[in-house]
Amino acid sequence: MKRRVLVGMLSAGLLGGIAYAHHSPATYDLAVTDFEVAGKIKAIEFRNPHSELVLIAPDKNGKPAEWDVEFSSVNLLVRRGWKFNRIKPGDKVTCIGNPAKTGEPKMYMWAIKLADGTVFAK
Amino acid sequence: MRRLLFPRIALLLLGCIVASAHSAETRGSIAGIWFPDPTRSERLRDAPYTNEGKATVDRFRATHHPVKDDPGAFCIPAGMPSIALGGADYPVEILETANQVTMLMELHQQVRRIFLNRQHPEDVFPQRNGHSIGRWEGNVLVVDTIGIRAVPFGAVPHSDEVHVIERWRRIDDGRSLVNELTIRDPKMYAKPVVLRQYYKAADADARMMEYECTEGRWAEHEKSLGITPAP
Repeated sequence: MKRRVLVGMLSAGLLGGIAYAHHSPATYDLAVTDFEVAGKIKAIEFRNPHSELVLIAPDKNGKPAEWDVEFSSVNLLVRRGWKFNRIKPGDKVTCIGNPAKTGEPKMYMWAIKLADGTVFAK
Repeated sequence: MRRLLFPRIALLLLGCIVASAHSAETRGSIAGIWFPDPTRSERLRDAPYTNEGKATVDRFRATHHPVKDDPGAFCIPAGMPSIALGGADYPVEILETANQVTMLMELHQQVRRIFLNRQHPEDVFPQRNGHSIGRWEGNVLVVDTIGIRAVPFGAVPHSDEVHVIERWRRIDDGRSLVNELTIRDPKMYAKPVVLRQYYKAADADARMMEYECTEGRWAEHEKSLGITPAP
């Protein structure tokens, strides 16, 4: 149920024509909003015009890979209630959002699930 | 004589108070923090490009990837009039002083200064947000902007001949703002483009934030030098 609500929120955001100031996720598959990758954060940068994290997780062939995970600007995340001190290198997290159209290990993240079950989303 | 002086002064003061109250009534206010409302706002669709306008936009699109070469990702703002159309989810703070309305746009930390009851200078050096003058017509702030640098991207690609008239006013009992833009650019558009941008009043505890945008570019530069930033 929780998952359904979250996915619903993501879909509503996308279909509602949210303007991505800089980061049109045109290289991502917008039809898929609940793509999930679980792994360990190697590096993370909260900044403008967009934030980025590197996630160590298996690629589509099951081989360990460094995922390039792109997400919103620091200003928008603050307003959405994201707590940056709770998302750090070494943390095990699940990234949820749009996969790359090409199948490469990269994605646009709309929500993150922490090890204790906390979800930060749009 | 003295007995007459006091009532005269009192009358004069009363007159001043009434006059100032009257001018306060007839002059609106759009001050405050506002968030763009994409649900009601209008966007440029089926743009009435001139041949030259279409060629300009097509040339930019043919030579720039929509994501990798997005000027915004390089912290390059589109300026006016795009700045007044959208701004994604970022707020604008509007300050009003006697001779100026100042718009602090959070996105890209842009500032618009609207000089009240003044004229455009004869020579305007084109800049991203142009030169804006304004006047109150009742509760409507009318803003006239020229001197905008040509930009082939953004919500409204334009030449340096673009002339924008905005009409800002509160609606919905003051809880919303609407800005009606009339954009004239004979080089780019065969007829005036009219678009309405809506805003919602921010919650009382909302605050503006800084928007430093170039940290990522700097980090890439440091990386190119082989410098690893301290954790």
